[in-house]
Amino acid sequence: MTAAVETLNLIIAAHLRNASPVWGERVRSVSTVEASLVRPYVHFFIASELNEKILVRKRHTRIALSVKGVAENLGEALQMQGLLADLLDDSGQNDINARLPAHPDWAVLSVTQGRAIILDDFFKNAVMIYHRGHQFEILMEEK
Amino acid sequence: MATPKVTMDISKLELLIQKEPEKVATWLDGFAEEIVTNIKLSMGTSPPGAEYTRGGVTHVASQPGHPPNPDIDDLRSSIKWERDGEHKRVISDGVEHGIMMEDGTEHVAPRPFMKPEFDAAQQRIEQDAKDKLGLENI
Repeated sequence: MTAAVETLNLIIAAHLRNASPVWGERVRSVSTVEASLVRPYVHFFIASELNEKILVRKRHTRIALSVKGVAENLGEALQMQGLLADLLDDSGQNDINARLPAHPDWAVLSVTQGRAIILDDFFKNAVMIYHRGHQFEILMEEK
Repeated sequence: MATPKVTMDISKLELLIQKEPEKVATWLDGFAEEIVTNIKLSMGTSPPGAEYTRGGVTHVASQPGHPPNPDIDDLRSSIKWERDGEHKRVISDGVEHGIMMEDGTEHVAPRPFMKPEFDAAQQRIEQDAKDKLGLENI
């Protein structure tokens, strides 16, 4: 895992944790999610990471971050999808509504909402679990 | 607040599409084929993950965050590109669990295999078009 990814994980977790009573503190990255986690919860993970050549003197990274709400109720999953989009879309420091926490090493320049995540998870005839969210394109710059 | 504005000169590409639409279509076919090939080649490149045995055959899964390792090969063999109009190509897989690998479920951690290659392709498409369509010479 690169430093940019580690930093982004910290920023996203801090921003989303307790941002809504729907999920409370139950916000987990792929490496921290535990089997006993109670639904509904927020789950996020890196879908891709590429170096971006913008300025020679500064390092930039473009990351695709998938963020989804996981719930047993479709209405709740859709509500989480909307809340997560409100919390994250255009939240970078160069965006129209900057609101992500600052970090001493990396700046999140832009956050752009991408494709929707729509997945109905029916595991071994157990309860239906709904995954709803979005993929976000995130541009980061090393300070 | 300044309003960001991006201006792109696509006049040469538009001219080429008007003059030689089949040349552009053929290049797009090739680019789509390259993406499909790269996605397939990425499967099996993960460091070894969990090991499980099913029907007497042992399979070593990929690690979460890496493309899946082929097991019975239904996902990898189902990935294809199709023409959707003259200058649009659609790349997809044909199995139900493809999206489960890409986005993860409660019981299977995500193993993105489409998005990494799509992003890499986004970075090289401009140069590829310049090189293979000869845009500099129009």
